[in-house]
Amino acid sequence: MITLTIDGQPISVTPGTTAMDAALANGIDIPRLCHHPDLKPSGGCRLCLVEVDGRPNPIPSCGLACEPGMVIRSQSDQLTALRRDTIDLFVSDHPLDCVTCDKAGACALQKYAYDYGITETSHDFKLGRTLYQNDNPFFIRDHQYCILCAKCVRVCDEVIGAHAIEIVDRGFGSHVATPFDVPMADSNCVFCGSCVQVCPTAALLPVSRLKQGREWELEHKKTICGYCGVGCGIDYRTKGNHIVYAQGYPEAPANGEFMCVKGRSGWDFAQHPDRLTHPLVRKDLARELGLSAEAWTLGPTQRAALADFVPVAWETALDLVAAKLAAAVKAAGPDAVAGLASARCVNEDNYLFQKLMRAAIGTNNIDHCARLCHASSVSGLGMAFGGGAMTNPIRDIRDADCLFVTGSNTTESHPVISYEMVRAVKSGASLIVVDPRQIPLTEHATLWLQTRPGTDHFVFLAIAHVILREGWADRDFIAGRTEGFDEFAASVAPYTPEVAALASGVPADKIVLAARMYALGERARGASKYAAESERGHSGIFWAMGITQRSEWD
Amino acid sequence: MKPEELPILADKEKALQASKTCRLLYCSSTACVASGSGAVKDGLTRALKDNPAGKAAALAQTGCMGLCSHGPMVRVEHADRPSTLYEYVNGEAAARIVADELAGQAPAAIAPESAGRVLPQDIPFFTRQTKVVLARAGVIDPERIEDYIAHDGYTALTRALGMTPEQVCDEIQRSGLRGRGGAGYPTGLKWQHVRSAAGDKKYVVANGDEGDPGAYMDRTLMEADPHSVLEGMIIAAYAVGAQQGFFYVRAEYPLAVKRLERAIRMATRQGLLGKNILGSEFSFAVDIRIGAGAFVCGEETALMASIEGQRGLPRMRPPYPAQSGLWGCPTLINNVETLGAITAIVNKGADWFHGIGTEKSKGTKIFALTGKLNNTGLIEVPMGITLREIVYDIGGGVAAGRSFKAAQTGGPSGGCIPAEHLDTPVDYESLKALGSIMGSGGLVVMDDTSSMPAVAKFFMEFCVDESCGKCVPCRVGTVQIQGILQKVVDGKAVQADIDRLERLCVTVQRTSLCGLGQSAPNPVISTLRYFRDEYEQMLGAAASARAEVSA
Ligand SMILES: Cc1cc2nc3c(=O)[nH]c(=O)nc-3n(C[C@H](O)[C@H](O)[C@H](O)COP(=O)(O)O)c2cc1C
Ligand code: FES
Repeated sequence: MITLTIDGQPISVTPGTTAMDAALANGIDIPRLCHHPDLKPSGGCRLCLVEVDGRPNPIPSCGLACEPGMVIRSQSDQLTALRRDTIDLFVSDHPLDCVTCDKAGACALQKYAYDYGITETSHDFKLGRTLYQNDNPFFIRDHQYCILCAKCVRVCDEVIGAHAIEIVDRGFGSHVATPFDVPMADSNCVFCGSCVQVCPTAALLPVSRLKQGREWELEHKKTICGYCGVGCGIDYRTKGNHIVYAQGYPEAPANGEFMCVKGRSGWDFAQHPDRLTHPLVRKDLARELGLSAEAWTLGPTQRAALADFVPVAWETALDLVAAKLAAAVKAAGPDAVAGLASARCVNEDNYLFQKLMRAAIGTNNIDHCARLCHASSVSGLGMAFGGGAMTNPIRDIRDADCLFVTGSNTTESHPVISYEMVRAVKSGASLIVVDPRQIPLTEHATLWLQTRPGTDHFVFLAIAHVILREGWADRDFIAGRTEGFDEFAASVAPYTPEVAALASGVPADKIVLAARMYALGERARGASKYAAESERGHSGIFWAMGITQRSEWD
Repeated sequence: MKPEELPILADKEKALQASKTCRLLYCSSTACVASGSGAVKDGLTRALKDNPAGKAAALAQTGCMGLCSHGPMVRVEHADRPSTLYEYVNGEAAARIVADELAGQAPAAIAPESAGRVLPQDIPFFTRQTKVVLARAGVIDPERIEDYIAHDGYTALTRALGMTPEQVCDEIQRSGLRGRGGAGYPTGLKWQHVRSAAGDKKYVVANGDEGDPGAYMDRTLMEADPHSVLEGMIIAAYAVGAQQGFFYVRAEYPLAVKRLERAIRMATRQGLLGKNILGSEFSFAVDIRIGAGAFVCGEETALMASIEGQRGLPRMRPPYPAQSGLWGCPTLINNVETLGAITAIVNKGADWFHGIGTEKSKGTKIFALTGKLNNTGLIEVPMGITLREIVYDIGGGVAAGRSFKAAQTGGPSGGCIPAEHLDTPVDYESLKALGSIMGSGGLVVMDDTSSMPAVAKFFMEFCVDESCGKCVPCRVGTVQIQGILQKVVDGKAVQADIDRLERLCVTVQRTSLCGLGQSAPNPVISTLRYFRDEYEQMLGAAASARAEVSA
């Protein structure tokens, strides 16, 4: 830890911390437009200048590494004057349309213009960019509001790894564009919307948000995304029980501010007219039982599809289901009934459902869709680690030194996890991909072992073989935590890299290299976060259905 | 090759050259190519072929001979008497030169400025110069490594390899050499930083981007003596412990690129580059990277981004390249002229180099002397020479009988120096004190017909075009400054505009991210400092007031 002073306040930080981060962590707010805690410092907006004792010129705090004993001031007359002049330049190139702007209230430039009392520019108003692009269903690009903080470009590069956009041209004519200005859909864009999320102005806005009211009219409804197991936090901005747009929020443990296309844009079902909101009973049954229909407006596509159903009240429907289940149990015993639950429901609902089956009906005939995908991993992980779930929080991934990915097309199946992997790689981690397919992650991979389909286990066995042969295994760790290790070691003895190479088509030297990188936690570049505590880097294995659902083993 | 083979190669080449009755050297640097040295080469070749004595003479190309405004230039060297220099040579004159020289006849006197006239070599333009970095320029054939070796080439490398890397760094530091790329950072100190930086992998970069408008020192050096820069770079790599080097040269310099490529190829073939250089443990490889002609790519961090294949944008420093440069590895980045001075320092010693120049600025500096002068061209002068000597002795005074108004140094990052400071010694500190900078070596002389606000506007337009757009003061501020200058020049500005101009200049200077923006206002600030009356006379209100008075 090193100690320094910011605005008279003594502050302790770990070496390498920037003055900006040190200040923010200690409740000192420094104006900033291009800084983002998840992105590398850029230094383009110049608002975060601070004074440092002994340095003749103000220095941007976002790029200033803290040094012991530094004395920093974030506020002074000089800094206020420079910041006012800088904001003045920004607004000479940015329409002050705040009264009609959808971003008003959430716009960072508006905030600083307010803070520093800039009502209009003292210069000639000149717009560097005027393009308006609405070439995709998800977001618009209104370049006149762009302040070229490049957060969108950086998030796409540093976090998402899509590299869909870059700043083109230079100087006053700089603007953000896809390569060769192709429409967004023809670019590498995955429409995760992270660029929209980090945009400080109205340059990038969700289509669904346009003209849907002022920011302060919208409510926050925080929830968890239901699409996959990552469990991203979403903050739905709603108005009158309608979702206006979705955004991430920094405190969300799994994803922070970033989401995938599904989480960010796949919520239209919630307010779709076709959504089922009423219990339905088959028409013939309803007639037979003399059930009365509820008044209910059907969506346009439902009208045809549900022509054979009658909407009924919840009470009526529940009574009917209870009576039918009771009759079945009475006639043939509880085991005549079976229940199948879904991973699309929350854990609590699943718990209650099995309770219903076991306690109320009295049967153990209860299963879950995860039987298909997760049973093997639950038992495997349970045996190996004592619990059938991920061993680490998602946020650990970014600090890993070596990532070993197999049986997972992470970019498509768990995009938010792939962001963490991209971040790790961008900061110097090595990435080993074992997959027969050229999945998007191979683009970031240090080493891609392209196995013939169905032969990956040869590679794994050979890697274990090499680690043991080369003495890279951590014997103490193994002795303290495993049983039957010698049998395991004997079982991998025949699987030399050469044997695996023959079976899998992966060259033996690549298998040896992968074994070394994984075993020693070797980085592609840069220093490990764990350098102080351990000699080896930290490696992680990441697998998904490509492994759990493999059936053959020869 | 082993070190002991080097003198053998040198002697062989010397013997070959001595076996000729005379050597006809024509300049094949870009300026002379543009003024027609291709035709001169053809003329010389044909005349030699037609002349029975032609076989005994040698014909060779060289790099720049200096007085570019008098090109194409030809020099004829004899073993037994001083050489003759011819100016404004064309195809016809070439034939006459060959005939005269082979017959041993003195060239006939002809009218000034006519083709193929003899240019005396004892004029101040030549005698007031001190050639250290350019010592071989215009003397050797830049495309033949043998010629370079015959002129002490690669002897400095041999010597350096006999020293420890620390000793080499020390030697450079003691010489007092400072970076010629503009900032004037002590070169030896920079080498020490890179040497002591942690990391196995290190890089050396030669900055040959040379973006200042009108400057062509670096291009000339790379064209005229590519091996000397290469040798300097190899020595630097040895001193700092680098394994890979890059020349970064702009795409507008195809001849320099071609000659560097050739130099790298030849040096590699001779074992002076590549694995186990001169039989030592030291290995070093060099590649060329071509820039796409952005001024900002000469800035070291933008340059490195460009080499890495990214958009050439500067980034915040620290970390400095010496700590974290190319691909995060410690990187030494030096201007090509800086590297060009290394061989002389290693060969002649730090003390010798230290003896040239002023207290804090040592050695010589190359300037591209342009503007309203009688003699323009490329000059190398000792630090501390006065502007007056450069303008009046070397430059031959202001052309067309006009009077001197200002000298602009440092290009778009520099300032204008008025007549009252003509006796200022040219060194880093003195120029800075006058509100200008040494810069990379552009020196433009303006006469009394130049309008200083217009000059300032010219440089600001350059900066507007060349701003990378990353930071707001430079991206937007330069456009606003240019707008005000346009108003001034159009006679539409008022006093409030000048006040806004001054404030804006300070904001851009103080808040810009890199040297481009930080120095972009310099030409405005310095012309306001010395020629404010010109701005005021152009004010709209003042102009109309004057109109009223005279009415
Ligand atoms: C806008 C800008 C342009 C520059 N252009 C060049 C250039 O063309 N050549 C050069 O050698 N240095 C240039 N520099 C300076 C380099 O950043 C760097 O200081 C220099 O190459 C270091 O070499 P030296 O220590 O040998 O001078 C430029 C700097 C700035 C700010
Ligand atoms: S936040 Fe530091 S320069 Fe923008």
